[in-house]
Amino acid sequence: MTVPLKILLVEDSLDAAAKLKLDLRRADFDVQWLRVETAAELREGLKGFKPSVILSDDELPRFSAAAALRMVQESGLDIPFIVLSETAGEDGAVEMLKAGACDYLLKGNLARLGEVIRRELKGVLTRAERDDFDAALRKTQKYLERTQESARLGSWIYTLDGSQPMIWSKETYRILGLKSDGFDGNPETLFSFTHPEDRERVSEARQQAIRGEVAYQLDHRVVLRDGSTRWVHEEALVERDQSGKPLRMVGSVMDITDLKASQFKSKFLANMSHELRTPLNAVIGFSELLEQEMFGPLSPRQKEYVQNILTSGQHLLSLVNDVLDISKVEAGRMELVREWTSLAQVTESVDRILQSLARKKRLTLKLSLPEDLPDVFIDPIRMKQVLYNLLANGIKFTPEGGMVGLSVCLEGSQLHLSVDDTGIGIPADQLSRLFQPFEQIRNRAGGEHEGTGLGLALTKSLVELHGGTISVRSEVGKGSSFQVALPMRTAALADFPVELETRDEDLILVVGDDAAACELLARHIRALGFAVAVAGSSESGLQLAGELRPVAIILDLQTPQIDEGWAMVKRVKNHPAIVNVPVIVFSVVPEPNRALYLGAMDYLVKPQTRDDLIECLARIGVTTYSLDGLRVLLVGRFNADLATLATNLRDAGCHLRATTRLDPYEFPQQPVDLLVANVLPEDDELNLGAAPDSLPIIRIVDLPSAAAGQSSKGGAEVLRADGLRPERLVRLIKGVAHGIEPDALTSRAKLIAHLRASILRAEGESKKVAVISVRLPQARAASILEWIAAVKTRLRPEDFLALAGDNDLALVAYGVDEDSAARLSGRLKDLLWTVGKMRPSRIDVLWYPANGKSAEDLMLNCDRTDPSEARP
Amino acid sequence: MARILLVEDDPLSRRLLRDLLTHRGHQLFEATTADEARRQIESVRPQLILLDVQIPGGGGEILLDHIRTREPPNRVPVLAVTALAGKHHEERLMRLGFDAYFSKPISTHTFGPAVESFLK
Repeated sequence: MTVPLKILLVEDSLDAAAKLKLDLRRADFDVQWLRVETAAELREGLKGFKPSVILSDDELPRFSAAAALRMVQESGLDIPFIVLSETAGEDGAVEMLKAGACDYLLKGNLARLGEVIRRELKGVLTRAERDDFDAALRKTQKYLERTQESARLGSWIYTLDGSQPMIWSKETYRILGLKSDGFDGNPETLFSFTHPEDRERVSEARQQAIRGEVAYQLDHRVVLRDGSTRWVHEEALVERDQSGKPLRMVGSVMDITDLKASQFKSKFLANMSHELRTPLNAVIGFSELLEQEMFGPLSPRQKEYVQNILTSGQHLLSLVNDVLDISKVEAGRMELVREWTSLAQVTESVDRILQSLARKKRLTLKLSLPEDLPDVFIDPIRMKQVLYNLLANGIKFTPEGGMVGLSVCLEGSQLHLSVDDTGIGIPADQLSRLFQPFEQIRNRAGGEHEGTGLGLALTKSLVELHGGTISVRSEVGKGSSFQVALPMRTAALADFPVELETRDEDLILVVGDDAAACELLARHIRALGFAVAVAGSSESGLQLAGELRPVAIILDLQTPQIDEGWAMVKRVKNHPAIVNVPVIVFSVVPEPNRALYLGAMDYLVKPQTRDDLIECLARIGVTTYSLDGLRVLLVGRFNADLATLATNLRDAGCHLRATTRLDPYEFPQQPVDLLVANVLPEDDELNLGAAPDSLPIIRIVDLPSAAAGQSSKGGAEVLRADGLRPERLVRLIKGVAHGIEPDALTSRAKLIAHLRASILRAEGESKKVAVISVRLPQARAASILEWIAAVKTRLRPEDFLALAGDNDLALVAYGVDEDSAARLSGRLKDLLWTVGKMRPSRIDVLWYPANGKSAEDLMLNCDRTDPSEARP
Repeated sequence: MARILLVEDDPLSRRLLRDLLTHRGHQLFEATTADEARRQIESVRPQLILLDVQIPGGGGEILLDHIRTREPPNRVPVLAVTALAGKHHEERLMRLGFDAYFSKPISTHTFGPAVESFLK
């Protein structure tokens, strides 16, 4: 094989040079040459020619081999330098080799030259590799140190038999406040840093880990040489030999002092807010009793003083409440309870409270909303708090005769709320501190403005929990304007496969970047009765989790993305809105401890089976709707719908048989648990009447039977467009086949009976009962009711929905107030639209005892209510 | 008019509730610890119990357990009156078996009627 070789020859004789060329070509070298005679030429050659080998004559008229060698060495290049000599001189040879030449050959005997060059080139290569390797290693080490530094995570290795000193990473030294040479490798030295009160616990944990009982994983305090105390989290694995004998502990130590401090702070704030309630109980309670003059009249001045105490007490209470909320936000425990909400209802109730305040200050308070604003997916109570805080703040800082207003507009996928006042304004240098806790802006018109100083900080947190932003513009003397922008859920998710508008099933979010693996998982999950959303990255996963509020998040981790996966688990657990959503990790890497430490609820090593999935969901408390072993007979003409149906049912664990037309004689031979009939408009004879009365039937239809004029016998009907969605189908079948008779499948008689019972109970408990009566545009109440029953997840379990007439439904809600009754009727409206694509022609809300004292009264009044009085 | 046992260690809260409910015609009995409360329950047979969950000496939760495990017909309404505020505490206490939950400070306007709604 020909090796291309660049040789720089330091040689004055052209003959000698020619001979060398010939020798090397014979030795199979493909050679490029540069011949130099002087130092200047050599310098030039090293730079321009970039030789791989240098051959040097040892006797030159204007130069010497020794000087040439020095030049090469000084250049820092790793080029083999071989001396070729005319004469055999032991001394010269030894000297040159000592000086760093690679070899010394006689010009008369160059037989070894090829071999020497090959050997030296190999040496160069090995050295270069080693240098690269060293550089890479140094880089990795540096990177590791940096990472450890930024994570404040040190590592250590402890050889249990003491044969090797304990090894610490740089960050371990830094965490313990030591210089890199401040440790002698003795494990007991490390132990001496442990806080005396924690030593026993740490030692016990170590022994338990070595014995293999539990993982080494604990928080404890360390006392540094400077006397300060820090909190660390330690974790370690015990490495064992094949017989299970423990060899080493490889561990990590993390500085969690700041984390602990903020935990303590949140806990302290929460405790303080509870502690303050007891004295406040007396302050507010007694001044209320006085103010009511329960125990005798007060003089006007006494009454005024009492009112001052009361107002201050209530102000203190709102501060205490804000502190509690802030502590929840900071501890990541503030949870939003989002629902589809009419913003008009939220603003109305804020308006009611604040109008009197505005009147007292002779201010105009104007809340204006666009008429066609769709419902938004927010936490109504928290949003009320946001609007209340901003508007009350505006009222507080606006002088008499001024104006405070709220305006709302929907722009693309964002909802903009703007609270404007004509108040005293905020100096520019104070704007940035406005949203920080306890930052009451001072000198705003001479201290008359007491406030909690927490309202705006809390407002900001609540807006951010909703995924929104808040900002402020202000001009001193002119007024301020607070802008809140909230993302609207519907538009943001247009690309995702989940139809949010019609989702009534619980949802499980799958996050993973292997689309095929995720889809397979999604299919399993749908077959267990859940809607599924799939996110391809942790970024979109987090966003979806916040918006969809899944019952669980499954992270499907592939090996290369494992670290991103861990980060995702951590971020979910740091995300206030979704911190309580259980996270399950599916991974090929068996690292359950790490997953669980980061906050995952469960961990499965792939490949996982459907049973694993069911068990795992059960462990975290999510009920699945497996149809394992259910014997289903599919009836109907075989078409694509039936094929889909069959696949979905098989995925759900059903045993299937299919027939085009029901034959009564086959039932005794082949028992089935459920009939699913694919009712096509053109197939009028499936002979479903041949089924035994006790056998539940689900009909997949295009139109509800009441409208189509058919009579239906027991069971349920489900729309084709909707019923083929596996998650819907599975839940429906679970309900029907297992005889879970929904409350809703009831008649007017049952309604009256239930209403009577509720009234009786309400009488004893001084509660109210609301009857929400819904008039449908067509006489379809019965079938609508069946569908609602099948998906009855959005009404409160205690609510009773029943048939009140051919085209009337009624919901009996016990012990509700006006707000929740309004919310319930809103949900009912949503539900009607979801299942029947219909808007009710009327919704009335009647109350016991206000609108009737008996069930019959109430129902009669429902029927009689003048539509103009109806409260939709 | 009913016999109401008030288990509360804060003297001012006790005074407030006593005055409020006595004014509405009820007969108030008081206890400051769980032990005292147990004795009162035996001797007075209250028709309703107001219980501060955080009383010293065993705590209100154990006391509730004691009341609940006694033989029927002592299914007496036990209402929590507590400085532990927030939904999280409310849910926890309701799960423990309290009939109602009032967080301090109470509203003197609604407290009376609310308590009376638990009296048969």
